[in-house]
Amino acid sequence: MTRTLVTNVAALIITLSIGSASNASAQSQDDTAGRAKALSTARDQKSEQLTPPERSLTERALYWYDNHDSRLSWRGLHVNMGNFSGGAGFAGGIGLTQRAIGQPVVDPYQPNRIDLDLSAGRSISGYQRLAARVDVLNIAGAPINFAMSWRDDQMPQEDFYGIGPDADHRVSYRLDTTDTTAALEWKPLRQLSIGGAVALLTPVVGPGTDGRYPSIETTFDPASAPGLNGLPEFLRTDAIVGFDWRDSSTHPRSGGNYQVTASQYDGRHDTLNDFRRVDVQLQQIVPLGNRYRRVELRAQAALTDADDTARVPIIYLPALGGLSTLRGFSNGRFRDRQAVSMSAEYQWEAWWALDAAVFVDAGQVMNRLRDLEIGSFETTYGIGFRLHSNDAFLARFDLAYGREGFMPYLGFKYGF
Amino acid sequence: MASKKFVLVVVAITALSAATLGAQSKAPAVQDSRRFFPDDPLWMDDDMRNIAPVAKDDLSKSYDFVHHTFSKGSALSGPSVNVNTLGEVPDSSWFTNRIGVRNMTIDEVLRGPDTIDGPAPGPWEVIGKPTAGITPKFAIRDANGIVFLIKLDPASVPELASSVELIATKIFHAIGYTVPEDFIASMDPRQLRVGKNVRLRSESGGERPMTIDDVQRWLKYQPRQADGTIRVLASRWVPGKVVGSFRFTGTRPDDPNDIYPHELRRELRGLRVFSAWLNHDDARSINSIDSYVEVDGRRFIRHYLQDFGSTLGSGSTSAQQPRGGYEYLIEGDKIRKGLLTFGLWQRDWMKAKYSDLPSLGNIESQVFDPATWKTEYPHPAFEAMDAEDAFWAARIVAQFSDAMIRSIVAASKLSNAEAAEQLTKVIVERRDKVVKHWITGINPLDQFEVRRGLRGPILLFDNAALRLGITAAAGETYQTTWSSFDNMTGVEHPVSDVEEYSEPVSWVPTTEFGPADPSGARYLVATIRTMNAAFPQWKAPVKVTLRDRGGVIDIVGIDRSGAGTRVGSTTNN
Repeated sequence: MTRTLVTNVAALIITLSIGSASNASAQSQDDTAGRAKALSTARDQKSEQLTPPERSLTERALYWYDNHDSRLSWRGLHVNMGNFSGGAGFAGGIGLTQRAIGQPVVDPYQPNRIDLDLSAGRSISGYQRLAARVDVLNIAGAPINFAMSWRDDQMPQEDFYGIGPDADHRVSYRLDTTDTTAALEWKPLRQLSIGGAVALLTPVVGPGTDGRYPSIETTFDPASAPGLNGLPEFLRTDAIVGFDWRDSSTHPRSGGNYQVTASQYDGRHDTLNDFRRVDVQLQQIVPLGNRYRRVELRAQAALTDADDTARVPIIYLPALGGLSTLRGFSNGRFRDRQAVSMSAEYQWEAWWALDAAVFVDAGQVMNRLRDLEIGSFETTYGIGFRLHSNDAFLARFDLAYGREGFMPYLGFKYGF
Repeated sequence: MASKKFVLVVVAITALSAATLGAQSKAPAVQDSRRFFPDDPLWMDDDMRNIAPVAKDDLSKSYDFVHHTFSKGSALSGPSVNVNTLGEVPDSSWFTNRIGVRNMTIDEVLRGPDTIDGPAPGPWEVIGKPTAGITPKFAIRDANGIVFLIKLDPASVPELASSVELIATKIFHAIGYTVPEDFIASMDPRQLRVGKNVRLRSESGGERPMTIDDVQRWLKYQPRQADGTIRVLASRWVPGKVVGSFRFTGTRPDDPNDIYPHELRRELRGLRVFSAWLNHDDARSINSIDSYVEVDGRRFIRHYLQDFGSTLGSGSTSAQQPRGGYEYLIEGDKIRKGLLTFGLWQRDWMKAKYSDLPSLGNIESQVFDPATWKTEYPHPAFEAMDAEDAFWAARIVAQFSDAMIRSIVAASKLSNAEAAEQLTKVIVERRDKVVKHWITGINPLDQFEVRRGLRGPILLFDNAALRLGITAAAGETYQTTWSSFDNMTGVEHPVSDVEEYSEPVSWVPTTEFGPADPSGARYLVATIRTMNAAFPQWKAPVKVTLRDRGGVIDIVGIDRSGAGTRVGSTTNN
């Protein structure tokens, strides 16, 4: 109904009301007439025209929605969006999440709480993922968590450009991998976590399916792309320590998060692929006057080391490019044995549910850490938008610009 | 169907007629129509007539949000229509005049709607866990068989939700609304039992019998008081059969008593002023109750306000969001401005400073602006509020004394004395802002009465802004023009020149009353302007109609429709 129409209706009511009052007055030429009687008459008239309340189709639909679990899930079954690597294209799937199995309420401190996550997804580019994870939380009432996970990924058109900062031969390769991981975490303090993990990795590298680019074997050989001629199963062991004092893990407005992971990759029955890797991730949020404006600084380093006779497979090489490092370049654009990157974001609250950001990223890959040279850093710039609830991240869109052009990113998971 | 709707419009028209006339509408007068009836001013609108049972009409909260956020223009506009000829709201199933028309003692205000002293000691039987709303709660039946909703404070902000709900309940009741009986109670988990056949929806979506372990788990992390009990808010189940929530537009089509479009009800429009005072940003339909009750053999729908968990510094399940009360959930222009200014533009509320005391949450009085205060999303009755509605409400707010507010806060039993003191201060300061803004926004003449003077009757009145200490006397004068009034034609005929006095008083020209109407009453109108350079809006006139019935003169009409402008939408801050 337009405002004009409403105005007309209101005017009609006011105008007609005089006539109606006139009738009331005409009927009440004696002192028994009165306001109360006029109102009573109005109610008598309405009582002859009663109708049950009616809802419009939209209201009926939303009423149903209100009363049928607003999370659009049914008994833990839900729809998944995205969560594949960049280049996978639009992806969707289903998941089953059961938190605090067997319990009427989700109690974050419940001893031996068991959570279950199952998911299956596929993208329009043929990426596919099957995953299962079981968490046992607060073991015996202690701040110790155990997780067992299994994941099978099929990634038919991953990008590879060669090794080193100047690599520029884009090819496509396939990576299928099944990872089974057991992880233990101890949180002696609320902010401090110490943990370890053991993972069995079974990667397979093969020809890529991206028709726009050559397949990897046409341009590279095992010497220039280690792992191309086959990879063993790996046993990875991790040691992890972290200190996280952010005010929210997915929508922080202040605080910091510092994580160091040291990993040992052992090729089963094949020492040629054994290597060590250390990942350092530092994040600091600096409020500017209040919680609605802030600068977020990030620094990341991924360092690998192998014996003289060993090599680091391309799929496990430190990489730059993508949503969390050098956003102006595609996912995994730069690979080498060492990678260092940093970024600075100015974020402001444009709306209670939307933060906007402008950012600059810089980073470099290199064979040896001593080759690090600030002047050789790749830099990218961009803007970003982060959709969130009052205290949790929902989705993000970043548009970055680097020397190779614009890169858009849409994500549904908060990164490091 | 069209003809049905037309008939309903006519029914509404009939109802409106009483009110528009009562408000001395500017609509063209119709010959032989009577502006004042012998029983004016009406102080009781008998909308509690016996009606047949009605079906439950639940509201979709999502629809309410979507409809009012994205759809404009479905609500009626114009002056409030359910007021009497003095501009007051008659008692009804919606509202009962209390502190606005009589002095209430502090004890009376503290007693509020309560007819009992709270849940009886002894075993409490858990009989359900409602899923509606966001406040953690469950229903119990006490040892006397009385049903209560037990609302738990969020563990992160102990005492916050329960204290604000109790405070708001007492205040809204004293104002005149119908509210549930709420109590701050101490609950010993050991006194809880689970009733027979009580079922529970589990986290995974299925249903199963509720056990005492479930109940104990809900309470596991609730802060304990020194004696091991848990502080809760016990809200007594409202009497009668709940038949839904009321909407802030239109009327209920199955209730013959409900003839005034809700957006044209003064008590629902003026609720904006009270809600701003108490930061009740969740004052939406979902937080109302229509209950089919039986009183003295008559069955009708009584209209409740309920669930004040999101008032003052509380956001029900956490402290109030800083945006709460300042900005709708969606406001396109502010989103655009926020995006394009790179954070250089900061909303006023972003500069607000809040106490660190958890039991206070996020409430303050310095940045608060009564004019720009907002609910979570547009509210049709609040959007329709005009200066008369606001003046009516602000006069009521002014009736709450500092001592009364202090006592109400004390009744909320905050364990931290400093928190209680700070909360009292904030409520008092917000009250002062509300009163100042809405009283001075209109020609604030008030408390009219006719007294016998040495030379005959005199019309006395006062200036509410001066009486309430909002502004000091600054040489203002009052210009009065007298007119005779014909109640049957609505015609006014000036009978005096403009009289200007420095005091709020005027001699009544008793020989100039208009012709008698069929009841024998004659009428005289005083048109009064207040001249004050600091408040040019006070020049707009208030019209006071005097009625002479056999030598007995009373005041039958007060018309402020020319005394101020429509407030309309809440403006941007």
